[in-house]
Amino acid sequence: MEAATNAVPEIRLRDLTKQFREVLAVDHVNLEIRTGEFFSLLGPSGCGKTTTLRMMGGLEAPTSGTVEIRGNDVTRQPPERRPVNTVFQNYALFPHLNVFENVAFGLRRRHETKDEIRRRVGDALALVRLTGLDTRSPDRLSGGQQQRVALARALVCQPMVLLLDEPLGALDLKLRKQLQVELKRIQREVGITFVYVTHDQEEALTLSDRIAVMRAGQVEQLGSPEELYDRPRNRFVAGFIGTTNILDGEVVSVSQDRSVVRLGTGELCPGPGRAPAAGQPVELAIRPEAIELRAMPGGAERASSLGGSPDGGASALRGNIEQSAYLGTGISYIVRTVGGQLVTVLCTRPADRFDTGDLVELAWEPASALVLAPTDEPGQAAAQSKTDAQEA
Amino acid sequence: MMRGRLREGALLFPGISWLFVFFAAPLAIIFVVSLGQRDAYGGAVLDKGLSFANYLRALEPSFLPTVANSLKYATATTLLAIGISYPIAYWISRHGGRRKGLLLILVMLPFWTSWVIRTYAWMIILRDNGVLNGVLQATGITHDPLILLNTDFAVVLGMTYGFLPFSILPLYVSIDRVDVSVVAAARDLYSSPGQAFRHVTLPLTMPGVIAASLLTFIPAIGDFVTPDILGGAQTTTIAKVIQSLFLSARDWPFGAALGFLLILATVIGTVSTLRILRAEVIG
Amino acid sequence: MTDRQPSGEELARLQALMAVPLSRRRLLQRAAGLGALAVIAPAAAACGTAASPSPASSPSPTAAPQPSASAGASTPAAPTAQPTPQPKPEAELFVYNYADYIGDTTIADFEAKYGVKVTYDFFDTYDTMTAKIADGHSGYDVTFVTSVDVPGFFKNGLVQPLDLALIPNRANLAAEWANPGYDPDNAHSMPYMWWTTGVAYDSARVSGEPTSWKTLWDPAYKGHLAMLDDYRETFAAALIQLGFSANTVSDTELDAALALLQQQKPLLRTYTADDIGALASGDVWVCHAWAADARQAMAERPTIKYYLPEEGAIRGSDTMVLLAGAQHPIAAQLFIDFMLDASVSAANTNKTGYMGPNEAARTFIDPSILSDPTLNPGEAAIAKLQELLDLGPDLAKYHDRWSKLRAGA
Ligand SMILES: Nc1ncnc2c1ncn2[C@@H]1O[C@H](COP(=O)(O)OP(=O)(O)OP(=O)(O)O)[C@@H](O)[C@H]1O
Ligand SMILES: [Mg+2]
Repeated sequence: MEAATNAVPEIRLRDLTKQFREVLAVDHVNLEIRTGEFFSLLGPSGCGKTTTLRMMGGLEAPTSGTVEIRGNDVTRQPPERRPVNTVFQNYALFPHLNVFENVAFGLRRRHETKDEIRRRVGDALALVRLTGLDTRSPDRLSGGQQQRVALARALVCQPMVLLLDEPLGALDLKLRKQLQVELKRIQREVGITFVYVTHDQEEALTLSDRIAVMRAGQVEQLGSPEELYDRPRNRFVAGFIGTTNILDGEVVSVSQDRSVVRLGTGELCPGPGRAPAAGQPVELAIRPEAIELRAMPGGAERASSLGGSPDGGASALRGNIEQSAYLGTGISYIVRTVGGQLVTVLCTRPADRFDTGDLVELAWEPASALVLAPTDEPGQAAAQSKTDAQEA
Repeated sequence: MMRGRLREGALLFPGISWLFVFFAAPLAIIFVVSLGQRDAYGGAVLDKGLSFANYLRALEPSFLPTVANSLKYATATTLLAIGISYPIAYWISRHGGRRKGLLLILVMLPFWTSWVIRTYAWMIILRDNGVLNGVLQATGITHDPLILLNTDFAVVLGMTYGFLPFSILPLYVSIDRVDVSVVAAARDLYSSPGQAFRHVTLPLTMPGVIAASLLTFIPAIGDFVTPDILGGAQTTTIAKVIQSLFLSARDWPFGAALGFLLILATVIGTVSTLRILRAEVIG
Repeated sequence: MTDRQPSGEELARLQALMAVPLSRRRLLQRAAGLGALAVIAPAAAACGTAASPSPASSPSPTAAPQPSASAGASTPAAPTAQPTPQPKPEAELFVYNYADYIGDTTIADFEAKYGVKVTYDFFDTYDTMTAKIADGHSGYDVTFVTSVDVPGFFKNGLVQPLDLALIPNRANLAAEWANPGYDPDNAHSMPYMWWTTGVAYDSARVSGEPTSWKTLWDPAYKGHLAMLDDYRETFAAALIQLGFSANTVSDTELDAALALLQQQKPLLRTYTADDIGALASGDVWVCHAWAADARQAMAERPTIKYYLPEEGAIRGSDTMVLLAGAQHPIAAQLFIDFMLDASVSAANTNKTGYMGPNEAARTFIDPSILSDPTLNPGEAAIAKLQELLDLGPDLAKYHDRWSKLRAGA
């Protein structure tokens, strides 16, 4: 949004739409992907990520809209003529060819010389750390090795853009983490644009320079991981990125730098200064790690009053510890407030240890609570993202 | 170890007994009969001494033209049947959607009618005053009727049509098993649709092509009825000669000898073709 | 046979196609060789052969065995062996015949006359019949067998000698049928109907009035000539043309016939089992054909004509036989006798279009049949007809050459 405004984007999608009979898989998507960035399409299953990626690669023809690569309209170009390569969701290795021939496939179609092919396949296999497995058949490789072959097969052709469709989706957690690191390394080494499809928010946050969160064929929000994390536009994005407490309520009062919100349970809590006028409904999002727990005098007694003064410092909801889980990096508590609202809290300071049943006070900086856009309708969010794209 | 062997044996038993009952035993009977002699009234006589005399007769060059005919028809039929079935099977698999089953049934439908009626229909189409000649003359492509019935053309046409289901089904199965994303990968890796077919789809469906070829070629080699009815004086096949030896000449031993040689040649040909192809596919 | 199918040309043709090896003669020979079924018990087959006196190499019409020679050996002691002065038929009778090969009221008339209940079944192919009677327990008493098969059927114990005393109507037979070559003195069979094999042609395609077998060798009609897919008939056409006997077993004569047929082969469109279809469709202009088939083709294509070549031609016939396992022999023989009655025989001919051997019947036969040269050739033509005979082991000489002919390039 800030830099690269003048540079020609690596890939530009304009009003890209795909309709499968009754299913509108991709709905007027506008995106600009910058040269050299690690760009992720993030969203739940069926939201149209794969379809969007396939339209970039030419494997699916758009119903309407255009795809540009470095300023060239490639919408009508067949896949073999586009300077992009794909790592498929299930790898799609050629079962009748060995590892070497799988990787060499694209080079052979481009009539590279024998020596060139040998050299580049060797380099690609080294890059993905598979040297020595040239003559293996794909069905005798582990999932991780197959994944690397798929990667090498796409990279060896030196595409401008590498399209990856949930390349780590089928692997176990440990291997996935390990390969995430490698993917990032490879991307840095080869220095090309990656467009990465995933439904794993953590993976997207870890790897990406920028992320487009998709929902029902539309882009809900586009931004860097920090932007999405800290300033989710709506309940969907907030809920999709990380764990978030979402509190429904009504604005009681608004002042310069804070507001007071009455929750559905009747309890009052602090909100940010930028909030709708008093009397308006509001959705507050508060990250678990933004909440501070304080021990209340009275020990294990059951909290009974709707305490907390709306104007006295950090507002204070009160409740009892219902559950706790040790996560290694901290402890995650679930607190049931007096009014019955469940709130998740992440304590990273080992000093704050509570037992189940303890009476606690929940406090947060007013500015750390986020007011979400008041709607969940995908249509409006899309209209919003369209405006964003035009601004950019 | 022993026990494992035994269990393995037990598992193989149904298959082996099936092979025995339906293949080895009849073959053995044919072989024994082929060593006998024919008696005056067409019986096969085995107690006057067994000999290979019938095999010497069978190897006479006078039967070569019919063997050549059989090979010619079976080869042409196999090539045509595959050439026609492959696109049909491919289309059904790729574009059949939810109606694949229905489409397959529709393709097979003509083959549920009696063989006789289908063959007769071809006769009506191919005869001098038939439908095809009518169309050719009406459109001015030909003036005088072409002789189509009773020719090599009619035989190959009839056989190809008759054996089409044998090639469509295995091809459909193997094409349907090819993951479309593998073809997409080929396209992504700079293959035109044609190259993707040649380098990916075709090699991956080779087992289906081989199965379809065998299922077409083997019955085509043994088909004596189509050459008899759609063919003519010049289309005699070795199978027809064998059939006539059994049925009208009542020379069972000689018929058995020719039949045994034909089966032997077919089996050897099939096995070695499979060997070569397997070696080629596995590399 | 196609020519006796009940319902319409097309159906007949379909059935003909279904029973691929159709030609009458081939089926018969197969039947004669029922011993072949004994392949699983070859010794039995060998026995049967040993028991029958070898018909020797003589091609003479004495190929039929003498009834006295083997009657005792191969037939059960039937009540027919002794003359029965007062024949009292059994209450039932089982007859097995081609469809549409009898007069409309013949069965009912017989039932009325003798008080016998007749079960009258059809077979669709000759094959079916021979398969059914092969084990001697078919349950049928009378069936219809082609004359050339009579000796073989008798040798194989499938039919039993007739009690001629029960068949006084045999006096109605024309002299030539009273002591036929295939069954001297009609000891095992009574003739029923006869037909000829000659040449049919489409007069719209063939110029002039052909009279010879040579028309089937005329290169002018290349691609539109057909021979019957029947090796006895086809060799007969060549042998007769060369002036030899249609039953020859001389290797030199047969080789000459083979050479003639080999010379003809490139001109031929097909060796057909469906002469009606070949002619009626217009594909074949000159066709080796059975008379009754030719007549049927004429119904579809009126320009078809049929002639018996001047060199001579073939005559064949069907006979009525008493089956070996017959449970109702007296009724059976009374039935055979009834069929030889002059008016009954004429009624059968009038219905089927086939000429019978019954001299006395002629006065009752439809004049249009009597005057149809296809069905009823004149005396002079009949005089030149030959009958195909059982050749025993020498038949192989024909088949070996037939295989060579068909297999040749
Ligand atoms: N070839 C197709 N025909 C019909 N509908 C399709 C087709 N491909 C995808 N769809 C539909 O389009 C929508 C988007 O599919 P897509 O594969 O793009 O989702 P995705 O985001 O990749 O999901 P996942 O995470 O499960 O892979 C889905 O509803 C899907 O059912
Ligand atoms: Mg997907």
